Amino acid sequence: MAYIWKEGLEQARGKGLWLGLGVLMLASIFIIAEARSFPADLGFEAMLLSLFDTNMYLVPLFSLFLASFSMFQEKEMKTAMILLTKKESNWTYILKKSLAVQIVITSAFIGAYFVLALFMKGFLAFHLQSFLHFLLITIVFLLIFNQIGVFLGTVCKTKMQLVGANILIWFVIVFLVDLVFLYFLPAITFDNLRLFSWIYFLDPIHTMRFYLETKLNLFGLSHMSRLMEKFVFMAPWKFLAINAFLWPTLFYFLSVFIKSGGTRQN
Amino acid sequence: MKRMITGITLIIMAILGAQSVQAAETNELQELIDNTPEKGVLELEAKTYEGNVVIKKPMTMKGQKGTKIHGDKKANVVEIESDHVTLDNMEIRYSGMSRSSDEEYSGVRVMGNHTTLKNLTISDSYHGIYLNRTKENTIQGNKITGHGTEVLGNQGYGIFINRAGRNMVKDNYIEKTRDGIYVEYADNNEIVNNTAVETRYGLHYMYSNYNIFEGNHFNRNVGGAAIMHSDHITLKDNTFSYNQGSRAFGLIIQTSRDIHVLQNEFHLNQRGLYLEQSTSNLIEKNDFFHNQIGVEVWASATAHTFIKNAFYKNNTNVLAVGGESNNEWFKGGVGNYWNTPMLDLNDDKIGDSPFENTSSLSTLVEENELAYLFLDSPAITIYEKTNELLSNDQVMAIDKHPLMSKEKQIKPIVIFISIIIAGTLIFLYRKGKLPWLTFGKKD
Repeated sequence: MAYIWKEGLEQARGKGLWLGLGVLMLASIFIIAEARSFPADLGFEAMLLSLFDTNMYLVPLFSLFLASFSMFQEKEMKTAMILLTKKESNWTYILKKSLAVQIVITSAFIGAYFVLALFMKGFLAFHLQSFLHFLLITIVFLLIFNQIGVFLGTVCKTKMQLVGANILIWFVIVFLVDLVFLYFLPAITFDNLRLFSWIYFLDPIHTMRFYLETKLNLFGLSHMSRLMEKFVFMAPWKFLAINAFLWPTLFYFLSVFIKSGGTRQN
Repeated sequence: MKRMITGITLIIMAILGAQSVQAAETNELQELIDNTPEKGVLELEAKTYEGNVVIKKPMTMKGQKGTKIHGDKKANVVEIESDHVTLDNMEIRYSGMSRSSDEEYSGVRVMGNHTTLKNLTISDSYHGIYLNRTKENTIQGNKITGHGTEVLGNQGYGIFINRAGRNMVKDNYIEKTRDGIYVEYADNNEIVNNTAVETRYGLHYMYSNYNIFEGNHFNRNVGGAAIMHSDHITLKDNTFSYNQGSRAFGLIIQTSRDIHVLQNEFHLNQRGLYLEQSTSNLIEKNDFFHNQIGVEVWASATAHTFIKNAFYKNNTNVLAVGGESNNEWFKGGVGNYWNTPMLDLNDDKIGDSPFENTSSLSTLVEENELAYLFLDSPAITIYEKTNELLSNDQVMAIDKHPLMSKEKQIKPIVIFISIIIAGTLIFLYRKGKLPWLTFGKKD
């Protein structure tokens, strides 16, 4: 609890969280306003998908920076050293810190979306179930990228290194992975499709979008070709659950095992 | 003698048996129908009548709220064999669903001419309404519900027009059937202001010419409308939206010619318009907005003319797949709106230089269906730019007379939100809550 309280105070006093929330809300409000011109039938759902497409750029960036800097600050301010020498093992320290980061940042972003829900309700035909699917996706999104941020904050030794690592990871996940997919696409055949499918759906951004599209009725899973049926061999929620468990767990253990000795001054 | 007695007994039993079968087949509603004079009006009560019934004379059968006809799940619920029959305001359910029977059954099967079916609610039937070898019927204001997309193969169409001409199909709502309206070998029909949702194809034309198709709405289908092997059709003021899925489209035109696609809206579809093996169609004044692919043209589609169409915010406006084809993107000095900044120094509302729509995605799409999965990816822009730099991109469309984008008025809501945000920021800044907005100022 002390960790969560401390994290909450630090994040609230910092500017990063407010800047992140501000940018996210501003972008979202304009998307909501634009969605008023969508055909009414699934206009709300199409707006949520547009919102996700914007989140694809913003959420990983803010989440990585906020989580990694929070972790790095513990080293920089020597609080990590005090905690580790007094009562915490490396395992428990990173676990508690991760939980605190996850709870504080996720709560802040979810809170912002509840405020945005007022705008959505005001301007569009609000569908609670669709909104809850969107919130679930946002939570998974933050869960994964916060944990990657915690990992980067743990392993980087200088602030410059950390900034570089954050931007690099963001670029790789948002842009580079899909570019690689596109260049390998001609090599995908019916025979190696299962392998491709696993790789595709282990990219959390792919899975989250696919889950959202199907749950919002913006992508039908009926009348698919044989290729597509083999490609979607498992229900989208199962892929989502795998991603939500796999990546945070993996990066937690990586943070524990690839720990840095501390910080170096730039 | 014994043989004679046995024979007579058998004959008597056969006659009695036939009579008893006939008696069983006759039901209250059939008796009411039989007792109604020609051109008379039979007013039904608000209760459930047993089907199945056959109407063999001109008459009107009028229901009220609560009037239901339930079939025995073995045949057509209502079969109309006479001309000039009207059915109005009733619920019809439970036709035969067998696919191995002599015919495909329906809620209402029409074989007479000049029939009017209006305000009917039909469900739990193989086909909703089946017009077979008939003409000049009016199908209006009916609601037909199928069994859902999961069991499409086990059910028929909402409205099936087979070898029937000059019919008016208007203001109907169809959902969850195999196809919403299926038109086969049927010419000169008018299909106006209908809605089809969650079907395979909202409207499906096969071998049907000279039809008019206006003001219909197609949402959440695998395909909004499919025009196949049909010529001389006008599609006007229809909306095709949210038709999403790996193979989904708003409208497909296949093996057809002289189709005039006029003033339709294609919003948020996987593909807005899909053209294949067709020729000489005119695509005019349509609005393609927020589709993954606005227009997908395969090389087998030739001699199409696209004018005055508006393309906004599609992931890809035009995708020409399978090589070049000779489609025209302008005619008589008029092209299309591409929502791209361009110069118009002589202020004639036509861009000063030709617009070239290029893309490198067509090869990918042609080679692998999975390419559609990446059309929303942020990486697509980089992929396109990279291929443009490497000259790997291909010309999808050349519009020598691109129309200048219409000036979009800023909506009041955007102004209102901007004022609120700006006001809040100024207020916070003046209160000293946002000192970091001033560059160089320290906390």
